[in-house]
Amino acid sequence: MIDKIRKILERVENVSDWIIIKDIRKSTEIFLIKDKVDMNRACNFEEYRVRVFVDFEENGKKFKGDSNVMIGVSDTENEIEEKIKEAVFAAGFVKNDWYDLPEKEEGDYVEIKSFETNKDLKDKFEELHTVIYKDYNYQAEVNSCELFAIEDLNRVVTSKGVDVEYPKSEFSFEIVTDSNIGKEPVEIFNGYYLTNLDLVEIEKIVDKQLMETEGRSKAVRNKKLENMRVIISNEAVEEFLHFYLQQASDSSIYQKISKAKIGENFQKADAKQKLTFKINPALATSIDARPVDGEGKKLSEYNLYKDGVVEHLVTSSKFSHYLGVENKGMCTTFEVEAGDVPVSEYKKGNYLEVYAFSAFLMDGTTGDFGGEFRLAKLVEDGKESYVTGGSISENIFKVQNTMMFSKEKAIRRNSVTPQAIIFDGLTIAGE
Amino acid sequence: MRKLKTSNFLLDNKEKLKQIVSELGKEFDYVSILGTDVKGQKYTVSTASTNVSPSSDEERGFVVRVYQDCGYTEYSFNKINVEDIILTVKKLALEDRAKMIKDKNLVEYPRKPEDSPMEKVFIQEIENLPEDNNPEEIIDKLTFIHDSIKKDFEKIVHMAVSYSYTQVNKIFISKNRDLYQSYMFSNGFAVAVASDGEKTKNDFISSSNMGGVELIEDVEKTAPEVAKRAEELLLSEKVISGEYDIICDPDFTGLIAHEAFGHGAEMDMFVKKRAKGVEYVNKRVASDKVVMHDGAKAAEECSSYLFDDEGNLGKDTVIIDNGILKNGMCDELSALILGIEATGNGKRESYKRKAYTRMTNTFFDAGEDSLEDMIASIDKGYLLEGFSSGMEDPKNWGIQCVASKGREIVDGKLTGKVVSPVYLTGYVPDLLESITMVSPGLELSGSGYCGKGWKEWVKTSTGGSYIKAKGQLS
Repeated sequence: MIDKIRKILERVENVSDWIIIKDIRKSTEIFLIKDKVDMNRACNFEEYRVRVFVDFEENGKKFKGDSNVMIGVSDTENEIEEKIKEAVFAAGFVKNDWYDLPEKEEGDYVEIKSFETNKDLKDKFEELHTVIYKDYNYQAEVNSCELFAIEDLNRVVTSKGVDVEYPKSEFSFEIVTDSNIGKEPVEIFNGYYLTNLDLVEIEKIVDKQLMETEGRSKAVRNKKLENMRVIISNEAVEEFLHFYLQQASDSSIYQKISKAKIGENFQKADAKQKLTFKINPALATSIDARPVDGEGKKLSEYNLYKDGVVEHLVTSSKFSHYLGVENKGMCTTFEVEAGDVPVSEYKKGNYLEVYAFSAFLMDGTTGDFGGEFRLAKLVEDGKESYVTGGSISENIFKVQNTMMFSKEKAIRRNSVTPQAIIFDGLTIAGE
Repeated sequence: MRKLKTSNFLLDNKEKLKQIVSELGKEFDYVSILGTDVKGQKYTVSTASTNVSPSSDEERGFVVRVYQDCGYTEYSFNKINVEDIILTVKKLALEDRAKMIKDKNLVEYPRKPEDSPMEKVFIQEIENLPEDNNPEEIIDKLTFIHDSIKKDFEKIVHMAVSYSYTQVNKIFISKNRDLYQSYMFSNGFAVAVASDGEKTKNDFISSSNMGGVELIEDVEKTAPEVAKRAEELLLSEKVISGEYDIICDPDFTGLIAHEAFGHGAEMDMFVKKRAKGVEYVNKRVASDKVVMHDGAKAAEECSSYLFDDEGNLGKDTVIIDNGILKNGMCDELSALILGIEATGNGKRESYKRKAYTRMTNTFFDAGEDSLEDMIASIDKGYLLEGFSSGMEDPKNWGIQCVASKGREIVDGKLTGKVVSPVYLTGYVPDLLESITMVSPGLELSGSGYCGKGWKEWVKTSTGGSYIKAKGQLS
């Protein structure tokens, strides 16, 4: 199919450059209600995203327009040609200042490990079922569960000579847990994304979620709290830290919606926790690890921030050219250096540790963040209780110079980062 | 008005789909196939660049569903080879499933899906057909809107305006059903980012229709308003958390309808005992002033269709009638378990995904109270405008809805002070029972997508009019 598309691209007029991204997917899916098997599904598809570029000049100024089309494996040659011609026609009106696409680079690309998640889900379903539904000794149980084993094969081919193929393996699952021991029944639901069917890891996840669900069943409505130490230690940590990636992106800087400047401190010089943030395309624990970006730029490891100073940016060919900075590629997998103090040290006085937000919101432009929490542990004067229904509304620029990172690290969907972030002096809304 | 062009891809493959249904029908009690051919284009002009990309809903493929005594199996694919498909479905439904279920309990379905004979075709008529769109004219128009805003509003550092259209073509074939539909919706966005050098704030206004490129006129009208609103946010303060009298604008009212109660009325949640609503059918959940609908036929917006992704016709379902919870919305398989009739709410993110009970056009009916009277009735409170996000909690009826801004009201008058962002939290029945005034002028917005938990994004529309209630803000 790639050859067929390539030949069409070569014969259609006005195509200056092109990128073809192939995605072949094979998935196995099982849906359970309580511990009973409901539907089983499979999905197989083959798709191609084709981006065409048209270079043109107006009044002596060079432009590069582009447009995208989606091509399915069942599309006829005539349909493909028609779609590409329409895309080329539209690209001719897209007046973006000229830039160039990444050339093929020598050297090895980062290697992405693949797993046979489809086979594993079929072969290990019995064991997996046991891990999910066994008795964990909590007054909470699994309400329902959805299991997805996905194997992708991606290939990026460009007019600049890039031709890189890499796999993507995913075992993801959504699990709903509930408890009926409190005044009202409660539930917690979460989605988890692993690169393979790791029974040990899944056991830890189920255990933690059941523990938190039992906690929520005992939780009382949160009262308003002032000047509080707040610890976030769940998925919100990754979303919070992702703000720094958005700010240090060439597009945000070009759009003037970022405060990051290469070589300058993003935090105050006396920030309690200086940020060291590394881009790592080969992050083995992430389902989004990859050797090239969507334009065929070879990806490698580098520091985005070092001790709070912006060292490099995440970039695309267009905006890096406009800003006159090196194109490092677009990569969303990262690592953040941990702090020096174990989280237990931060729990010696009063604090509120949020275990589950309804939905943690982080605005990549304004820095506003927060959300309602479904479960948190409140420790006040040595007395522990579970609380629910409170909410936090803060701004990252206000708190980033006083926040602290735990010494412990945690693996999440796209990152390895400090397990917990500690904020002092926050107000928590409540009844 | 002219009819949309139908999908050659789907209609040319119809005989093959019938052959698959017929062959698999020899082995299985129920067989259906949904075919999708969804295409469109999105044009964006921003301060940084111009982009043309496919509609985010673009898809082309099929999903087969089969039922036999040990339950349901589905296979999604986009390569049509009749023999391969039949073999794959048999392997999935018979061999793989048998291995999987071995000594495990199964979810039991008391009967097979509704498959009464039905042949229907719906081809929407619209003013401007997509094949007549001229990319140059669209880009020029959006560029004009963008440039006007950048010229007139000095604190707007980044402005983006976009127009997208999506033509949905679907075919549904079972032993007794032969359904086809082609319809189109368009979305427009105006997004403004304002900065004073210190603070950065953003806002957006969206527009939508069941039509075509004429929607750009709405984008042009809303662009100056969104720029004004973004600049205004630079002066916003943080709200002092507490319980206030609130007035919600139609956008935010729609978000409450959708997040606070809509998700809780999705009846696949009843099957899993995940919805508190199951205990409240025919009981009060809101004040007398509240009438809430959902349905593909309840309004003409982006989630209006003839049939859903399980071959059931769309309906207009009254969820709450004068404060009393009357009905939920239901997909086919949940309806079989619950022993009720499906409401045409079985929707898939795409042919690649499972169908769930999903909302369509969800809204509160309009009332008779004026906005002026609402404002005048408040001693201290906020008028909440726009929304940035929301999250459901059907089991516990918690609320998290985030408004773009709140306008302060003191002694019955707007003071001009703005707070942002504003989180509305609390307990759904407390909020809905506190609704004391509802204005005329129902407005629906179909620019958003709805997730089921963290995934399965589908097109929905939400709406209402101005409502007055009490809410916990932070």
